[in-house]
Amino acid sequence: MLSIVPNHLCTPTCLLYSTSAVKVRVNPAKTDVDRNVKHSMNPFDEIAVEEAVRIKERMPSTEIIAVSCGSAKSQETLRTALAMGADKAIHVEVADDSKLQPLGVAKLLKAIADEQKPDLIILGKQAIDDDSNQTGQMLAGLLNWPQATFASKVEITDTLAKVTREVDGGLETISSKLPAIITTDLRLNEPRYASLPNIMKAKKKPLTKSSPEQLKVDITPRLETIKVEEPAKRQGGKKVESVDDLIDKLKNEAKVL
Amino acid sequence: MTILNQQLRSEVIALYKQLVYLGRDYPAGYTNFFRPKLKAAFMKKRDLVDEAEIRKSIAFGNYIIKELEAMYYLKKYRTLRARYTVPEEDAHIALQKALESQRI
Repeated sequence: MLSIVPNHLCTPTCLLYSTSAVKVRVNPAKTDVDRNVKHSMNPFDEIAVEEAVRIKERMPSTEIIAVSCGSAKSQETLRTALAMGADKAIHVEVADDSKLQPLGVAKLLKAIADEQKPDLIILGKQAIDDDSNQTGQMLAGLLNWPQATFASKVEITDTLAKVTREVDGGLETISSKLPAIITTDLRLNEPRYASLPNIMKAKKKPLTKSSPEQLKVDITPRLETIKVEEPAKRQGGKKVESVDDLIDKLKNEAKVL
Repeated sequence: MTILNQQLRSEVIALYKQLVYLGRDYPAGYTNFFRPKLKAAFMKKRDLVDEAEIRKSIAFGNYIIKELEAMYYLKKYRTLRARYTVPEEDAHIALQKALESQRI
């Protein structure tokens, strides 16, 4: 963003619910995902931060702001984002993570976007704990900005974003004016690992705190999750000896005839 | 201690710390597998004095760092791909990438 007023690149890295081995489990009460596991940055958001850092490497006057909405655990994720190359971080502290839904996150991000006035917002396409795939799209609606979702390639100039999207049946390349919203898909890039010296340097980068009350946003959940269940365990396959055996099994065991 | 000695020493310590940092997520376990192996590997080379040898060992350590990062990345990528891609889509994407890389 190379104009007279320094412009910003805002990359929300909201929601960090995944163990470092990327495992997600259902909690014992079957009402939600298990939130007592070790958390780390959502993999799609890691890709978003990496893309922001690559854009900054190509256009050095860019400023990257990492944003996370959540409980105090989010701070660690923001530190990782700062270590990867973000310049500033904003932590919107929310009392209860499990009550924070995509619409709430989108509203909080809109409030931050109104304050910070970025040229580009990059998010992960979905969080791996709830798999909603809604925040980016809702944010685009709230801000009335163009959106390019499921990005597998991004090229940015001063005024345009050219994004290749992964869609059913192939790839679609679209061009959009800035400001715009991009959500990242798995094949966009390979996120870098923060080296220890970078992590130390990140401690000096500014991290401001905010809250829904401060931003004047209502994040009351609109949806109630009634039940969360694991998918049925896969049954092993069986080999059959003859056609008669196959028919027998289809009739008696699989019960489809 | 000479200046070179001090410099090499700090490089080796930084290397060790970085490996410890990366080893936290090692699948076979940090406390019972990774850390003992890491310590043993460094202890084996504790008596090196030749600068070239030490630099070679540091380079090897950096190579291991790259290998660990690649392993973690692949593990994460493959889990997510298996979780979020349908098999036909997967083959389609792989074909696209193969064709793209051939065009270059």
